[in-house]
Amino acid sequence: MLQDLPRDWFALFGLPVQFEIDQAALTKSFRELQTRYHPDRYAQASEQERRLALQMTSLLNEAYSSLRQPRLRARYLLEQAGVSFNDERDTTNDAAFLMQQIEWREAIEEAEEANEPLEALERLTKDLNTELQSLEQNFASAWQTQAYTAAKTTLLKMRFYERLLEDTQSRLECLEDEL
Amino acid sequence: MAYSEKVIDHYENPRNVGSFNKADLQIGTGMVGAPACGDVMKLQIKVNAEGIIEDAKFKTYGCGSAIASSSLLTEWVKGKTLEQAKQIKNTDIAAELELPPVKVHCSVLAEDAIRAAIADYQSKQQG
Repeated sequence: MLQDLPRDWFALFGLPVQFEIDQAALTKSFRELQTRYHPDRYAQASEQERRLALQMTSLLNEAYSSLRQPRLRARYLLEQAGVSFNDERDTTNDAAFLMQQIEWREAIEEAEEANEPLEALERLTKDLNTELQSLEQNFASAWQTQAYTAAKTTLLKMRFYERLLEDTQSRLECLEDEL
Repeated sequence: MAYSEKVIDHYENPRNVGSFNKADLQIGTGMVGAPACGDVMKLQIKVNAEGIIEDAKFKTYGCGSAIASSSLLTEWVKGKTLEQAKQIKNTDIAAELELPPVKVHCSVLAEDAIRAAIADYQSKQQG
């Protein structure tokens, strides 16, 4: 029955409610549900069932793409715990963190100008991934102990590192195109 | 997304890019970041003995709208008193640059940056 499906994203895929996730199990469960509720299978069903199958497909897609991405998964966990976000108004004024961000940006610019820019940018990518992973670990332990304010602060830092990685990646692609 | 001509103008010819010496007593520094997009903005003001902002500089790592918002703001605050500069609202910046709703947070960033710079300058005078 379509209407009996759980609305909680973790329950939907039969996964425990926690930050650490079994990506393979998530993908497997997603594919199974996607097949089971594919709108084509409801072509002969009632109008109500067809509509529900469509809603289910869009819920599955949203839940899957969010749970796969660590930052969006973290955000969902916090939202479920009652933490609110204001994307337009939330700003960070942690001076030490912002100074560090500017230093990372400068390091990326310098790496691009280095004698071996590909190697330099790849080293930075590795360092940035390490930073991001440590933020993810900090988030997981803060969330576990219900320290939601600390968890939100940590989560908000993740986007900055994603941006640094995106920037590094696009510079790497430009360099590779020139080769 | 289509940027307005004003955004493109500030993005291609940003005004007042650069830095002042943070340690100088005449300088107020404001740094803010937008967690929604990962943009980082540093805005500095140079205040004279009469309490007038005589110069301003910025360094912004972010999208065109964030760069344009900070560039425009540095132009606006020059010649203003600290009190006048505090009155600048993000909505004024967004309206001038014709920012679409999804980019309004870039103007919020600029408003927060100037307030932080003024607060930094004022705390230095008391120290």
